[in-house]
Amino acid sequence: MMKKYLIFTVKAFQRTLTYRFELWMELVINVLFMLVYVYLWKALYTGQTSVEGYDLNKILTYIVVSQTLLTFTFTLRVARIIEEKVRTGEVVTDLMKPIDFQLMTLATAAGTSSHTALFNMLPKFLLFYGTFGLLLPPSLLTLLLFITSVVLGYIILFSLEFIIGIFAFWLVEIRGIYALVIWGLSMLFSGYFLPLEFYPTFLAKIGEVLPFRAIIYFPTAIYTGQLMGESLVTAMLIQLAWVAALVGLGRLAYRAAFRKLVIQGG
Amino acid sequence: MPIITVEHLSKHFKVYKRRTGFWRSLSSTVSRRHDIIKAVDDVSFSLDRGELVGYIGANGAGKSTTIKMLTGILVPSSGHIDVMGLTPYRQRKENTRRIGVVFGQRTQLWWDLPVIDSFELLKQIYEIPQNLYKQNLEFFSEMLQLQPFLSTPVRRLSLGQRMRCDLTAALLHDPEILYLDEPTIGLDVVAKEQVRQFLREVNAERQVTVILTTHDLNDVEKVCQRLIIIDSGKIIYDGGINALKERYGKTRMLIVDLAQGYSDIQLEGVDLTRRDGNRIWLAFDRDTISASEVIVQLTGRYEIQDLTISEPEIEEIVRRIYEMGVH
Amino acid sequence: MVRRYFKLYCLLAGAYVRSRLQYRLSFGLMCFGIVISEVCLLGLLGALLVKFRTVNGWTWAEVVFLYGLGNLAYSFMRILGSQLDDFDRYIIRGELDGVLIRPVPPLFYILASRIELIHVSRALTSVAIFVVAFHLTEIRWTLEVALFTLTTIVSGTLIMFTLMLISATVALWTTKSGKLTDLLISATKEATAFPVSIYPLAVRLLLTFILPVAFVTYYPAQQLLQKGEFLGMPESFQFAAPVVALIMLCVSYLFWCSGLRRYHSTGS
Ligand SMILES: Nc1ncnc2c1ncn2[C@@H]1O[C@H](COP(=O)(O)OP(=O)(O)O)[C@@H](O)[C@H]1O
Ligand SMILES: [Mg+2]
Repeated sequence: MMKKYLIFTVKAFQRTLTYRFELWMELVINVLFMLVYVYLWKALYTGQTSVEGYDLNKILTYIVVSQTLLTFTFTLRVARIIEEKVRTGEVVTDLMKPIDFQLMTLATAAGTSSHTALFNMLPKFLLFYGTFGLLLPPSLLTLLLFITSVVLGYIILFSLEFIIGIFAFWLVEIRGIYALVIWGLSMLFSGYFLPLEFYPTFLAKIGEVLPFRAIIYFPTAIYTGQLMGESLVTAMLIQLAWVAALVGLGRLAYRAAFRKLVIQGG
Repeated sequence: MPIITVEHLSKHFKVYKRRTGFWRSLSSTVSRRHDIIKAVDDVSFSLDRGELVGYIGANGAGKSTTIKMLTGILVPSSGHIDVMGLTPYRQRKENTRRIGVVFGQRTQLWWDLPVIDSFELLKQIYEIPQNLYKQNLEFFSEMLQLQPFLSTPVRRLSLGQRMRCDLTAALLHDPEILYLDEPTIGLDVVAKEQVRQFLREVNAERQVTVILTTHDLNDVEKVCQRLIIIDSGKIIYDGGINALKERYGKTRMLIVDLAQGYSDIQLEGVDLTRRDGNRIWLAFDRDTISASEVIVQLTGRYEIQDLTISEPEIEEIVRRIYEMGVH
Repeated sequence: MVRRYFKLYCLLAGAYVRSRLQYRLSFGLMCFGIVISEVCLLGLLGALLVKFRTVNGWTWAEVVFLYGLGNLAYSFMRILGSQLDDFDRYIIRGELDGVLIRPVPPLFYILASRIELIHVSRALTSVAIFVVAFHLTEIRWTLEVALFTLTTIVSGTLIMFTLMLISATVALWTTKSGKLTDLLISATKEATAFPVSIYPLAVRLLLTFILPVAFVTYYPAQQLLQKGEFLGMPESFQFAAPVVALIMLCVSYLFWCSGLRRYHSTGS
């Protein structure tokens, strides 16, 4: 049953292997990006020891991990791909196949993203880890929980993009919504730029009711040991709740899109 | 004095191999191998002003590559092109002012804007004087009946309507030469016929030299006096359409669905060229035997369900040219 | 000649704007999204700077000033040069052929075919940020300062544009460049938001000589803010932005031409 979805993952993974130059360059630019932030924080921390519970080492670890996870946001193109499929009509054949459209899209995205994780995120992280002497997670269990949390965050990000993509059935053009949600809200509330502890209270409060912090902040804070014990469990429960809600919403959206397609012929 | 002269024109492409499989594609990150494809291979011809020429060949024969070199998009690997005294890729800008180009697969119109807006923009791009623009626009919208959808966004036009608009767009600036790369691709029969009719008229009334590429023999049959056949980058025929048909086009193909799978099929004056289950392909020369005679023979000996007669396809003619030689 | 091209530019760009306006909802949401993200980013930066007071001896007002300057150049470049950020589709979909059959210089035609008004929202936000920062830094307005600022912004826009052009041109060799251009330009823009002195020597050299975005904000700001912080570079760098812009224009244009030559001979 899962096997036929795994094929999509493998195929997508192999497809990405053919673009070589692009991948190298992407890595180089990503490193530049991260250098900017790492040195910004180093400069900020001159003469400070600990701010909001973060000392220099911890904040650098936070920045590098969160910047690494941000790569998913940059490289996931699910909404664009669905939009393209709707525009070209390819989506009809996809929807008629005896497979679950959402799962298939996820499986494909996972293929591309595992490639990104392996050949972009991991080297990048190791480079910075080695150069700046970053922290490791406090325990092996934390590492495992971190990885689980990353996967949950990824599914949340995927589901958001999936829902935005499905809007293409009604809107023709989804660049607007995409920009608002992914560039605007997600960038702001995911905590990629600085830990949520540094946020002004009102912003932090708004962030608490939105799913975005579950994408980057939660996993990163688990890695740095900022979230432990009860708060860690709560964080992961919140992630699970968002996964359930957004995956469910995605299903509803694509069922509605499917009905529209069948009844109105697209 | 020919308007287009092409001498020993070649275009070679380097194609890098993509390797499949995980480790092999990883290793091709380090080293890459390539093949040389001779898309156009030592081609020579010349065209006189006012000619209407069909440039035909199967997919991948090198038609588009030739057109791209003639229009100045591609630089030849070797050989010489002279178009109206210009070398297209060196004097690209001057050349483009005097030619019109239509790509069948891709519209040159502004997708989200009304058709008329595209025409207005082209007027500015080509600096077409107002009175000439008006005159041409009237002429073409009359001829191609564009009036009903001049203010419709291009994205809502049918393929046939869009092609009519593309033709107009390519001709508004009174080009001396019109290049069309597969202008009838994807069109239905009626739309195809409209395009052919139009090209004939434009050629006759406005003295525009037309080169039209296609892989559909029917396109050129009714339109062109002359045709050039290209195969694997080489010209294998250049001459009148009637001479070609005289020599190679007399074969007709009869496609028959038999009621049952006869093991042995015996017919006089007919070649069994292909067989696929109960369907058979019979080639015959219409000078030696008529279609009705073949059918009479068939029905006398076998039980048949359905049959169709088809004109020879480009692939078939190419095959026969190779078999019989060009002269 | 110049008038003809100016008119043509307006017409082609106008056509694009009219196309986009068919999708008003999307257009509005995008503007909104950009403004929100700009304001919020600034809010975050503000929160950070207020907490830490200074960055390497730069007051938070001075950093916001840098940020505003870089953002202005970035947003103007985005308005005028957006066509380059997904330039590879010209090659993948063969649209470049359609450009090459027009009696107009290809780069002009490509740039004119798109002017991205959604980035006007970013530009307006940047102007507001910049004006506020200008006040906070106690720079006194004189004609000279105004002219210098204007030159800096124009040069900065050009420098960023040329980086974008170079990155887009790479697609003429690789066919697919994906989001590289976008990524590169965002990275360099991010780098200009902070004083270059926070980076180690290698990065400083990179941002001065290879991706010379230090001339978009940092070096000119030495003059405007009278910082006198040159890190071993010549002091004349504070006035060098227009020269750098000019050099970069030549380099990137030559690169573009050689890319186009390659396309002419490979067709892909
Ligand atoms: N840019 C290119 N790079 C490499 N090979 C090409 C390129 N363009 C065309 N070819 C190859 O050259 C041959 C001729 O192509 P083309 O001129 O497009 O054929 P046609 O238009 O007759 O179908 C084909 O084998 C095609 O694969
Ligand atoms: Mg072709």
